[in-house]
Amino acid sequence: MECDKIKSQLEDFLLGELEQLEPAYRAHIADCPQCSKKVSHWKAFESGLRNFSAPPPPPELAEEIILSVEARIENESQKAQAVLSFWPKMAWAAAAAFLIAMGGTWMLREKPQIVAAKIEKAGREVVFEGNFKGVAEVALVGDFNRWKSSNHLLKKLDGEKWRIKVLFPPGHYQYQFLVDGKVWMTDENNPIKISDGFGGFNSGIRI
Amino acid sequence: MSRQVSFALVEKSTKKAEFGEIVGEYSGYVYSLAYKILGNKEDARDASQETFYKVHKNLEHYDSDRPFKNWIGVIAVNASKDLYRKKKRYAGSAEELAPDLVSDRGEVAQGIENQLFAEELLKTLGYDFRVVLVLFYMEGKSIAEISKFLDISEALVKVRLHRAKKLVFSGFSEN
Repeated sequence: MECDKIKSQLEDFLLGELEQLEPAYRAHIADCPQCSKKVSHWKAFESGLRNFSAPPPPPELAEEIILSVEARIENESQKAQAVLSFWPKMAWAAAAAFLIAMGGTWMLREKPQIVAAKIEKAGREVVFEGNFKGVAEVALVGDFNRWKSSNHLLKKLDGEKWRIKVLFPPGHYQYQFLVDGKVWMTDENNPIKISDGFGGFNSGIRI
Repeated sequence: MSRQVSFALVEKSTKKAEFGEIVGEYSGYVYSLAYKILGNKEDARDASQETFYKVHKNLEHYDSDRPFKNWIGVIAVNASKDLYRKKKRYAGSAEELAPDLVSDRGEVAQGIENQLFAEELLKTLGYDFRVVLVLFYMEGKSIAEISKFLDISEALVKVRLHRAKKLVFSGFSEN
């Protein structure tokens, strides 16, 4: 049997079960040095994989992991509290000052409004949709994205509608919208409000 | 009031103890799996830390219908994938493996040689091919199990496995 002829078939057989090779193929391998070499390489490779043992972990690994995880969580919790307490107060203080400065004409401009978050029947997919007029950016920010304002940016649809769809694992989550990177807004139509511990509230959702 | 506070403290320290136990029991497994996928100790260490951070964050979402080891294993595979994508390379070399395996007499047994051979060949493969070979051969997982681990269809697992094997095989010289 010619080597070239059976090459591709040989591969497929080899990559299945060597034991199931037809006698004709086995005979060829026995006679052909090239194919024989390839077969023994393959056997060595498979054997190397099956019997692979990783080096043992460093003895301090477990302790190192525990300490680093705890430190990270502590760090995040401090950051989240700092963000939550700082921005809403700053934003409303700025808004109040602006109001006064404008002599109340700001009241005539339409406030951003949010339509309530819709929960799809798929159970874990949540669509957040709202009307935000005259804004450049709307971000969904919450504990699920570590209060990072760039992970879940809403997409602008036509007119003033902004929208994002998020897939959540089961659990409880807190969120707010961050508009133009400056103004924090809870979901006014979501009755679930969770105290942030600093006199403000986050909107809550449960999947 | 003080009763509530002490309950919170007890719960916190129980959770802390529980997490410590989990790390103690599974850090070896996670490290070994990450090493097999990433190919070097430093990355295995990083991936292990990332894995247990995610474990801690998601512990309350663990569905007890599923074996805990599998749940952690999936997190470890994903953490390894993220790290690989970040670094876009397999660091490390066969020398990392060899010192632990060479016998006192300085002889390298056939088994060790095969392992080094396999490790070198794995390095030539992209992530998707490498990870199916690791899960199939090194971890002894079935197609169905790999499909769950990687969250891809069984058909795709088979395709990747077959292509990975073909790639390796076609790389063998005939001399």
